[in-house]
Amino acid sequence: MADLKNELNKYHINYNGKIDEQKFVESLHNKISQNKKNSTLKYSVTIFSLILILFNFMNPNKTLEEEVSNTNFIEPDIDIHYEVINFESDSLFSDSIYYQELAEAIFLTGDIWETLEFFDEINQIKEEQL
Amino acid sequence: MVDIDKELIMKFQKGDIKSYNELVIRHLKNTIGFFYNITSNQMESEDLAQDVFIKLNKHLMKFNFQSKFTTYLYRVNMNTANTWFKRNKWKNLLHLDQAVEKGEYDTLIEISWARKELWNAVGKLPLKQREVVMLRVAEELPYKEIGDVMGIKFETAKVHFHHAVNNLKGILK
Repeated sequence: MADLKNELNKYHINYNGKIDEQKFVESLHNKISQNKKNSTLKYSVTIFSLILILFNFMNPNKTLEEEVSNTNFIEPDIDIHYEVINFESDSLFSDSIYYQELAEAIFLTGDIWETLEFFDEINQIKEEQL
Repeated sequence: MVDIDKELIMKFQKGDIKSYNELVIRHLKNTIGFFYNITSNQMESEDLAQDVFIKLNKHLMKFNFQSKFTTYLYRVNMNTANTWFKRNKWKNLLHLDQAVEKGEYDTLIEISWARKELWNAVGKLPLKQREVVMLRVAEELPYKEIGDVMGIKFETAKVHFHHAVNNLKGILK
């Protein structure tokens, strides 16, 4: 037992790698501004989606053809949304992409309250992570 | 004694980006070092450090100095490492399949694989135990400070470490 405790201490590495501080800070700020743009875009898409859903609720008497054309109308928006989010392929965005896909799946089932609850849960998870 | 971190954060909260950059540079080596201990990979460590500083950029605006900045930083490091462990669960297993046999290569490679094996085992520990091991081994913090970071008593931190070592022995058998 004591051996493993001592052994563990030996595994510590005194990091001496070279770091280009200026380059790091520059790329950090690029990511931060990209992050801000993405969250603004996400917010806009969410609001737009919610407006569409509300609009759908207000006009419930639709023919099947209208429903189908409405679905086709929503999908291209989601594709555009994917493209913009996906160009950041770094690990930080994996979770948000997963959450977005899940949110879209819930949203496409047409339950507005479940979608809102889901966003609330995401916010709670984010707060807990820090 | 002047708390440089506090001064820099206060200036940043007033909109001075240069102060934030200075804060990043002050803690950059330690932060990358922490992740390098766990991942043994320079690029990955830099990516994780960037994740940490992106989070800090967002949340330092509301930082109210109830704890030391370093305590807060260790907590963010720890949470980011936890996320990394979660994401790399399967990847690490695959890498371990390629582990070298003892005596096959030189000692340095053996040590490097042993280190990977150790951190893979640490990833399998219960959360609290894993966090204590991370802070103790990768950050070399005393139990008192580990307690502060995790919000537990220092005796509890010691007990978690004891259980972690016990469990690691079983996993590494």
